[in-house]
Amino acid sequence: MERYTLIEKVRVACITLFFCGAMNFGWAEYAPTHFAVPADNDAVTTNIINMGATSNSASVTVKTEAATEETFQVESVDSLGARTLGEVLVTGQAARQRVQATRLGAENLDISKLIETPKLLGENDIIKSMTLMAGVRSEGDGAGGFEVRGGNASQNLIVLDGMTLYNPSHVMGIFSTFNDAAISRATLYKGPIPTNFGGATSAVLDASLASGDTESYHGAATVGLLSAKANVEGPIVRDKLSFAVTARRSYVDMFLKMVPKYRGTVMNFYDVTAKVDYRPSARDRVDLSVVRSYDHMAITDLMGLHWGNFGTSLNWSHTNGESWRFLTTGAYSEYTTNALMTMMRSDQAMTEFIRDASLNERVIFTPSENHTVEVGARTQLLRVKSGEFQVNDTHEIELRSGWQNALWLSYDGNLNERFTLSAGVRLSLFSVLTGDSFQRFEAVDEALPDMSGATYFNAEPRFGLKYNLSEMHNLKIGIGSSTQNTHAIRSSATTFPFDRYALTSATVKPERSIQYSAGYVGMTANEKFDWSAEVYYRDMRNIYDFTDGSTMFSRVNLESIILGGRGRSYGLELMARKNIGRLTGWVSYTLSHTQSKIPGINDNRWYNATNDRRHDVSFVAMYHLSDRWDFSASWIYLSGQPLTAPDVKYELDGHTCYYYSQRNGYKTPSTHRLDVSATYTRHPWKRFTSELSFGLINAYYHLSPSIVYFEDDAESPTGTRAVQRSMYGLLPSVSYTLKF
Amino acid sequence: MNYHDIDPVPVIEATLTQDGARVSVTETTPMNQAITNTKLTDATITLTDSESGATTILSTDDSGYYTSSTQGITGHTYTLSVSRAGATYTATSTMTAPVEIISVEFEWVQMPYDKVAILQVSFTDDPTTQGDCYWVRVYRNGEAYAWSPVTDVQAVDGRIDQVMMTTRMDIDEEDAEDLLIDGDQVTVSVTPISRTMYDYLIALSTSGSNGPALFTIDSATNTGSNGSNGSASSTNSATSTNSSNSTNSADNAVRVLGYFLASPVTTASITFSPTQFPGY
Repeated sequence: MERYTLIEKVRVACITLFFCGAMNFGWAEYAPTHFAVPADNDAVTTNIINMGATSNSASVTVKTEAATEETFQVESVDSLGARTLGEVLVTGQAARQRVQATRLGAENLDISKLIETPKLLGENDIIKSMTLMAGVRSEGDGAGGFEVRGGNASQNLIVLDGMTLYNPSHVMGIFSTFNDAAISRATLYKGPIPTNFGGATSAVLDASLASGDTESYHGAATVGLLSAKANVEGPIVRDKLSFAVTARRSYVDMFLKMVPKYRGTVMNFYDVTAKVDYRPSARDRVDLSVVRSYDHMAITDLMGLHWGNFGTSLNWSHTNGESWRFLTTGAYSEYTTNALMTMMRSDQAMTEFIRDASLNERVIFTPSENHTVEVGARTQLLRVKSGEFQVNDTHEIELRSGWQNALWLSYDGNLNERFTLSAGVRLSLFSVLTGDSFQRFEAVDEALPDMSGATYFNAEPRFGLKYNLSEMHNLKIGIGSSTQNTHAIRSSATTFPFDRYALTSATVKPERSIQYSAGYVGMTANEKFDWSAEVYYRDMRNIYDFTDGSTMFSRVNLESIILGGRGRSYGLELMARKNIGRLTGWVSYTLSHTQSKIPGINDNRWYNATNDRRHDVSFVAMYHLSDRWDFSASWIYLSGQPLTAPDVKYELDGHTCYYYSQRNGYKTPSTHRLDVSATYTRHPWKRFTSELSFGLINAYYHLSPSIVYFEDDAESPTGTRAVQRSMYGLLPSVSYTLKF
Repeated sequence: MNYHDIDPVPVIEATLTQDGARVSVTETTPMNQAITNTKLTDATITLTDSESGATTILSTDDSGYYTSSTQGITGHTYTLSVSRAGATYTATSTMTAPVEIISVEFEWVQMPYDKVAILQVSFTDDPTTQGDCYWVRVYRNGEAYAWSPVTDVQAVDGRIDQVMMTTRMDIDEEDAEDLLIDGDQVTVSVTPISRTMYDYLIALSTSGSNGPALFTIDSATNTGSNGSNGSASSTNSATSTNSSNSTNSADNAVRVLGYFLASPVTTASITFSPTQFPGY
């Protein structure tokens, strides 16, 4: 029996193909429905009109419940043993879809391909894998965020089933909190973002948790060197109500307890996702999602670092007739951090949080197959505690709130056979909330910040136009503007769990960006290869950074230690993919330049932004040797990262001090790394599949810079030295997965 | 590292204590050379007591320091003026009352990698005032070992307990500059400082930052101001020449680094006896 995986966009719905149970359908665009094709099932047979399978590909025509016929391209994966999570493909990843997509820079992530890339310590990490694509870059080795087109990680909006996730990372950023087993669909918007998204001046990652199978139960468990995870799903009420739960926990601390010296060291994380999916009728679908992640690093009786996300959302999708869809989302999310230290008679603690409650309504009208109009509204309450310091008996706190509202209108459609238009505008209104219920400030010997009210209105036009040169080639242009009212103020070059967050206020203005982009996309007739080239220019206003010498602990009044300015970025992105055959993969190259100009920093001159990387190259290859063996490899090259290094040194009170003539005036050495992995698959029992995965990170042991600093060196003739620390040496891993 | 070539920047380190004034004027050293701390003796330095109006001209000693026996008086504000090479660098500082060091203690604390000797310095703080800042300095056998700026945010009932990590227990694993061995004489000094001075010291311990400027500059043709990026500066091509391969146009600015601190110094000492400390 063959297994097939859907690899092409479905026009009427986002459908993901699973291979167990019977077939079912759904229309929710944000939450794909499972779609199973057991060839021996009568019910399915009646729905499948034609199925012409070959060894590697096939087409399936399906009569949907709406009595329309859809033809899908499917690819044979291997013989049927059990549904494997690795086969969860996100719709729209096919070359044809990429070529046909109107929106420039929108990338429907092929999760099944992404998780085939080499694993870090046995963990598939979608965020890490995503950085192998053109225009997307890791913040650095060991950093958890991703950067897109000159923006930094905190300027991205990460949405999971409608809830916003802030800094979703584990172990200070080594892993993301995205458990690959939990995710069914993800789309990254690098260029103009759809009007239904706001609050991000760089990119939007829109992801969905996988819904449970409504027909039968499935599960999987994985044990790796660092962590273990499990997931289970199945029906609660057949064809009506299903659930899906995933959980992951690290257990490094269990090994540490075996070593007397490290017995007091705690280092663990966990994340849990749960989704309940209810389909009361063919026209309605309701799902409830919950996400929780938590990191705990501590030394018993001395210090502790804790941070985590909690989020929940309720989504209701209703279809009215052939033309109307209503998508309603209520969501709440919370990001908290907590740092503690007790040493002799000194007790210190710092806590922060971002709380975000929102209600979102989208109304989508499709008068004909080629035209879609959307109107929507969103209201969102933001509450940000930028810092609460408890030092012995002293208490300091800064807490602010804001009310963010938005209306949007957009149109997507074909103007004629050549031109396709995507255009809209988002109107955003942000109000600073005042009063004791919404604000609080206590400090020792600090001036009271401006806590007065303010309201900001912004119109954010979004525009995209595609011109079809032929069925296989087209040109696209896009313009998009967006604003952001949560500002992460970072002490380091990369995202840190304890970054402080400023909320737009009477002093801090909404961050704005506008991006202009143009591109070309093409593919071969058989879709075996596709390629793209895009150029962009992004202008950013009201970006904030710490004043020179200030750190996150300098003042509780955050606004007194930050400065606002401008940023700009421009670049070229090239990408080519091989989609079909035993050997698949892609190569990507990004040439970019990103600069900042903040009055009060660098003598008010433009300087290379900390996230400026001139060259970014990725090679990714996946080789399907047999039904049992799969191999993958990735090689990355990043040119050096800007570094503020001293030009000269001097001595004060016997200590060496450094003088820096300019911000980011130097560059670190370049980063490059080869990662490889191999997976052995077998079916030990009926309905069971096992996978034994081996991985090797940094296969040729190149020590890339993670941190560079300067220190005294008594053995050096100069008395000082530059020290480079690397995140990864040679990192082997092994993990074992059993699925049913 | 291929460091940029920039012109030397003057460095002024000036203190006025209850025992007298001492000023050194040096210049920055390129990163690829050893610091020589060669004293510049071509400056004219005056110290003015703003309350009494008395002005003292400091003279150089055999070591190249500018000194004066003028003693700082609590509550008086002093202005230091350093004139050199056509520029005058000025800073003011107010002499505050000395603190009392209550205790200096060591305790071994278990870190993930080893036990570390934690030094705790306890000293008095005026509970009637807020925003007091202090500079805690540690010397090992008379040589500079570590420093830590601290504010009264952590004061409890007029007492501040400042902790600092020092040496590891496994001395074979410790760097020479952090090593403390049995019998070392550890001396601690506590000096009240201004908030600006506190910010400057914090900046010096933060990679990539210079901190606020503590001097203003009057140059021959240009009125100086507080510069950004950590040094006082004023743009004046007449008094500063650039090397041809300088990479930064802002290097044309006249700059100065360092501080002037009028403050009493309180010291206390302890002998490092690792086996005698709690937690050994």
